[in-house]
Amino acid sequence: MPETDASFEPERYLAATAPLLGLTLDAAWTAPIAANLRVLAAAATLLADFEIPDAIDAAQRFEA
Amino acid sequence: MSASRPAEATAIAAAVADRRCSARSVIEQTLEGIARLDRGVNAFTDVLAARALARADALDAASGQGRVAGPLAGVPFAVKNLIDIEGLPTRAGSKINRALPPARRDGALVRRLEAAGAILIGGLNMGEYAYDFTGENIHDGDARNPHALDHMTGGSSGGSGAALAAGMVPLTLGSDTNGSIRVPAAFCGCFGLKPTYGRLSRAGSFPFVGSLDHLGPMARSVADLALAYDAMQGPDPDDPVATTRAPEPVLSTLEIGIDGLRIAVAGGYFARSGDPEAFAAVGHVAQALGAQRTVELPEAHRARAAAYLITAAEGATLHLDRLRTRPGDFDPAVRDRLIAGAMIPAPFVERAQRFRRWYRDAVLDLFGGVDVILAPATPCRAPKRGQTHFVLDGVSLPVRANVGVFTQPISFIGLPVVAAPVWLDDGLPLGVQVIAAPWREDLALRVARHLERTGICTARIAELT
Repeated sequence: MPETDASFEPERYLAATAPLLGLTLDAAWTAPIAANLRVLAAAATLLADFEIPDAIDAAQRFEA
Repeated sequence: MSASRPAEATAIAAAVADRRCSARSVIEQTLEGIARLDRGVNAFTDVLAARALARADALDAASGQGRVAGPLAGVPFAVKNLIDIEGLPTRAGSKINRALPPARRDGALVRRLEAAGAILIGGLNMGEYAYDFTGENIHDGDARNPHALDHMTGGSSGGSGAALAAGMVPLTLGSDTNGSIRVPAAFCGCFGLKPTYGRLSRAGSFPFVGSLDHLGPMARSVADLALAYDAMQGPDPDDPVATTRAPEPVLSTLEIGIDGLRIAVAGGYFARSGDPEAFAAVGHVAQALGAQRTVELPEAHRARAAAYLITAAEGATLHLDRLRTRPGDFDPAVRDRLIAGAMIPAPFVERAQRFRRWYRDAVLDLFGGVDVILAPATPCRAPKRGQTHFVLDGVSLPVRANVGVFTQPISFIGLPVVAAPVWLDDGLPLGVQVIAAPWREDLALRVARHLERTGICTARIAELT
């Protein structure tokens, strides 16, 4: 996975998002959750860098 | 049946059908084996002795009355404990689910196997809520790799691989969202079939990621995989993504061979970021098949990234209420991944699903020129239990999140795959993915059978005492 944008601060993001989701987080969980967020952000960056034609629908109900 | 080497499903079914042995004797022998071996392996979380013996007696009585035995007559099997077993809470490897009411009936695939004469003998250990590639479980204890007890089974269907490799049962069921059948098949040295997405009903199983979840069989022979797979096929209105296609039996096609099949090796993404042995296993299989062509699955690295995002987001959505109310009862490694997943912005997930559609079309184009593609199942042999990181291409990465680097881009678009075991030396096994186009399980199984018949891919039973 590529590097995450340096402006993304997962610790601040998760602190802000947890109340919205109704999650109560122990302070000890911050570092591992933030680490996971960094990986997810990197995955999202990888996809953002790829141009998908507008006509392509999402595969929410996927049929092989 | 011989007491020295556990029989395969096809042999058991033939012996019971011919009344060379009783179903009761098979079950008694199986129960004895589990009692003797599972203390060291920890594959089983539930053993259903009374139920299995009653079922065996019923089969023997029916046989005595001249009724025709089913194709799986007397075959003992066990299922990953995310599949419903009547009378038990479906724990899905978790602590939290143990408080659920007992399942009112067996999962669809259990019912179909038993309708064919098989006998459910237990529930199997697994990684919590299937968010796992290791086979480790902090609630039930780790499943242990029978070929080296201090090594991982792989997961999340860890008990399903371990029970086979220990010779405790000839047939298990697992689930595969990102590689959870193929990884333990590779690490434990057995065969596994992840069918086409939608081929086998998931009704009566605890979900993980509805967009990506599959159920499938694991066994020590390709014929056993096919036998079970044929018995489980068919539409099921209880699973919203189950196909309406009529069953397409494969058992009778296994011996056709590989003449005329266009077989290629996956290059690019699938030829880097792994230990040399992982690629040597693919090379060994490719050479045996005469596969000289290489194909590249376009944007496979992005396919993995998209699978990663969808898994985290959908899994988190499923578990959000439990994350709110009982976060301390999760395995911390699972909880922290799920909480992060809950925080993914919706556009990221939507884009991943749109990419999925693009990637499927691109890979299906590839199948216009090939019938079967070979790829490594894992980037390495089974790591040691408790090992949290490994090094791939000089980069230290978490084991739990990265064992599936080669399986995720395949299940992401629902392609059918047989994981076939390769033993390069005296060390632990590796696995090779034999991948076909959607709905062509028959081709993947034919190739796997050819590899088995020629001795290139074989399942071994560990020597345990």
